[in-house]
Amino acid sequence: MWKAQGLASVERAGVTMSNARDRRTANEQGPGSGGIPTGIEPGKRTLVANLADGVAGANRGRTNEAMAGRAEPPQLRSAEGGNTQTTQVSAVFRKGSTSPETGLGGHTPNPDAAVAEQRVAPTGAPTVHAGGGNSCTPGNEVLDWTVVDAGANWRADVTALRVSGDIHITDWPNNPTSMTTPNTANPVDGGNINNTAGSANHWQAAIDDMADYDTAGGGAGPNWHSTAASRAHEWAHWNEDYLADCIPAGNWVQTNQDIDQMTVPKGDHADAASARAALAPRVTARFNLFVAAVTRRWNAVIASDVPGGGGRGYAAGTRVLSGLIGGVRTYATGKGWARRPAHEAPAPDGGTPAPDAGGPTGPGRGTGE
Amino acid sequence: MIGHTSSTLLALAALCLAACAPTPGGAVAPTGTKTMADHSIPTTASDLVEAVQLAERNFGQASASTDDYRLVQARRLLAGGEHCSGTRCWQLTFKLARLIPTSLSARLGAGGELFFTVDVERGEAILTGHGE
Repeated sequence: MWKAQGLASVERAGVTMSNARDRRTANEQGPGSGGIPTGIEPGKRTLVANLADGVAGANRGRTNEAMAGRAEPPQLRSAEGGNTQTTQVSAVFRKGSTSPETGLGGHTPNPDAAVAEQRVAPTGAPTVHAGGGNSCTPGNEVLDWTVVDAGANWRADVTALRVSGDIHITDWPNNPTSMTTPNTANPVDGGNINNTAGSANHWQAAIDDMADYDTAGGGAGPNWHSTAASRAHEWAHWNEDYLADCIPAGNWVQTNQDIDQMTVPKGDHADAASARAALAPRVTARFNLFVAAVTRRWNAVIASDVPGGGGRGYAAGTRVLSGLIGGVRTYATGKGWARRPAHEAPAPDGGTPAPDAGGPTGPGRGTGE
Repeated sequence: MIGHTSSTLLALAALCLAACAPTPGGAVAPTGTKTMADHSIPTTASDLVEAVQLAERNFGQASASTDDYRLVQARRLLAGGEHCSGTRCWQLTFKLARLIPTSLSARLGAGGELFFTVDVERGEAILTGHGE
């Protein structure tokens, strides 16, 4: 069972948080989450977004945290919660589900907070930036741990694994009633798709440009794409590549267990503060092995993340674009401009793209967002 | 922009120098294996430099600045393809510099690429897409 200790970190941060920017729906987090990651126990898993972390990493480097690659500061966690307000975004991976269920709520007391020797789930969320291209970069993980009384010994006890990062999502141009490019397809009468030979808005040109997204040298655009596809792509990097692949690849469960088993005798250390100072180098060294392993895995995954390379990000974006392509083809077929190829099966609802695909929405309305 | 282009060219020149260095002991490579292609096709360095220059001159297609990007991959399209008139075509990938780690222990940023297909013979560089 996971010890969802993220709120403890939030409370210690001593700040009042807002969820205005990071409020997301399940769809916005991107389709699919990659399932239950290997190396992490199956069953209900709760990720509590530490929104304070979302403020440009403002909470990194707190004096009671072990920053990856740095020495552990000799301080004990305060037992006092402080005067704080918390708002949490939770993403729950239920058993057998590949998609997180998200929800917003107030402060939820953690029933496991006082129970030692339980593995903690990663908590936290990336900071989402508008603009600056489309990218995803996880930051180095941060460990929270404390010292507990274990009979004749003092023992290290992991209380949180905090994750953070930066996601950039740049809006793709979306002019639903304008025959211009770059654009987001809006295949309706009065929209932005035509049958004019040589036009960048020709229905086949739009299909071809979106269809090459996950092929060598393809990628987004240059003329047709959607913000929804970019969003799905970046969240797939976070949810599937980072949380579901790299964290387990770093073997967090074993790391947590190893740290929780570190002890020093009370005979050598009169109080918890002294014990923490003695334990800190070992804790930091073990945690840094985990961080290094996560980094190796992440870099290996991302170095091969190119269009046509089989990456999860491009697969997620393709799912969104497939809906838009289907919408354009259905429109072109309906207008008598195109014949549906025999190998292309109609969409389950007769050709209307899935809601997340963002089209068609009619003149004057946005698509894909 | 000029400074960055120069640094790219220097790097490519260094690659060429390494590739063209004499073999240990001063041995001379056999000459009997030369083909017509050796005379008619520009060297890799000169062709690639020209391709990179063409692409960098066309960063405007992506509303991007060459200062913010670095070349991370080059592939010669020997069998031609879209936007290619011959065999002197290159598929070039530039990546946002801020996403490229400065050490092997740092994390690579996913995305931020610009994909160009460059036809050196035609002197054309086409932005074919953006990486995410």
